[in-house]
Amino acid sequence: MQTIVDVNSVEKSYGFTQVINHCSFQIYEGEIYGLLGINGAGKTTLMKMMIGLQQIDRGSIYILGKEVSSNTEYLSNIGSVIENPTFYEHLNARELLSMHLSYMRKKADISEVLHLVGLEKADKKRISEYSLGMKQRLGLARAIVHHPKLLILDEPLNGLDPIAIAEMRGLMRTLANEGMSILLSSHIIEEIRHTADRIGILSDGHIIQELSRCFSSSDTDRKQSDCEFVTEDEQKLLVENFEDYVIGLMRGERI
Amino acid sequence: MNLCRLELMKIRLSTYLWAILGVFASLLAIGIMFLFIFQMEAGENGTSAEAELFANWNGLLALTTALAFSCFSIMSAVIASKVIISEYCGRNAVVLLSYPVSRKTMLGIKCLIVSGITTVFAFISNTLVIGIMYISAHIFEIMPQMNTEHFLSTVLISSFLMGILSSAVGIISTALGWKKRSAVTAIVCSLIMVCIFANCITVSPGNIVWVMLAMGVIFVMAANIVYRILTNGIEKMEV
Repeated sequence: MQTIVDVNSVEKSYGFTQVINHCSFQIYEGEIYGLLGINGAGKTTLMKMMIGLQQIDRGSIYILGKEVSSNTEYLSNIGSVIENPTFYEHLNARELLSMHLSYMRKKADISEVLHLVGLEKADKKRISEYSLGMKQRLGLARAIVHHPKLLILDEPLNGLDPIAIAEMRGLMRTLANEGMSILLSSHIIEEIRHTADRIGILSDGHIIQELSRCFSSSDTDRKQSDCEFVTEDEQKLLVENFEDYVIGLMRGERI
Repeated sequence: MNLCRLELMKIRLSTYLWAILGVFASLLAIGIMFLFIFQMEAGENGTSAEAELFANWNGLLALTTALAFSCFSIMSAVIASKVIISEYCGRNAVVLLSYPVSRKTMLGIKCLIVSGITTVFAFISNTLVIGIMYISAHIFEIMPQMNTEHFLSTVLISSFLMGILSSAVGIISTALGWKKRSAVTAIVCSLIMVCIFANCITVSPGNIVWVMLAMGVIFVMAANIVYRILTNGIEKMEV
């Protein structure tokens, strides 16, 4: 499998506060990588560094084999929804996506993407008239319309109703199956557990542990995964006490 | 050109066009009032020292141009604060800076749009105002003496220079506003600059082109330095 993202010993400080400290991890092609951490753990900072919104103090990040630097060409292969998506609200969805495609210097079928996120009937409506959930969907549409190889989603399920959350999870899985790599962040353990193939737990500015789908709450997912490295009893114990286990890790406890 | 088109899509240009139309109408009303001021002042007490400025076309041109400079400088700062400050200092910055376009190019395009809109509309507005004033003066037979041979070229050159000056004020105040991350700061800066420099235009109405040319050179140089500082800041900025 091709490595899409390679984060090597990255460090970042704000004044005297070190937010990211020797952080390293990889994301592979077609994989959904969940970044889990408490509020202020540095998830958003890490994502922003990947798209050049924050400078890297030390270490390096490679995306599709190219180092993240002042060169902006690699950005056309990345789609992102960082924090709450913002739009030019006097435009409609179709105009916004068309503008986005022009900036990304790519062509795509806007109708198809709008259908995928369930906004095909609201495509002519001004964005200012959209609900919060519709804006979240539009943010995702903007992130995927140019068919990026890497999708970065910072807490994308915020503000969505349960049906929309289920649909969004399905959509992420479809995109991953088509070969898109997804980096997903959240501070909600169950949200990540249901969606990600691998979970990186971010604490003290670095990944303290990576967990695979062996600990998924879904039986099907567990069966599909290669879980030979844990015994059946260990796996059962972790599946049942997953949340406590992760919270313990985030607190710095070794179980 | 494509980037220009995309940047123009982001703003509601019609709002600014209506505002420019309002500025034009106000300038025209004031300009025509200037014509009548001369008539009234001269009719009652002979020509007073204050009314001397209204007594010939050079004086009227200087006054109208100074007023237009004031209005379009503030207008330029308002457009720039929307196109530049709101974009880079607001939440849109996350999207804006994640496009595969160099930050320097993007800022250059934005400044070009601000300068272009200001210069073109300031030029058209001032030329039209003087033109309509000239026609009105003929109709009402209140025309002050025409003591300049090349008045038309003077109007065209001074209007163009006024457009350049206004856009330079817009860029300078935007850079100051960006430093404080505030659109209000930019607009206040432009107001202060206008209060100080608008008077310079009327210093010597007979040499308005030379006065404005000197001001233009200084302002463009200042705007260029400030633009470079702004570019460096935006290239290094973190969101």
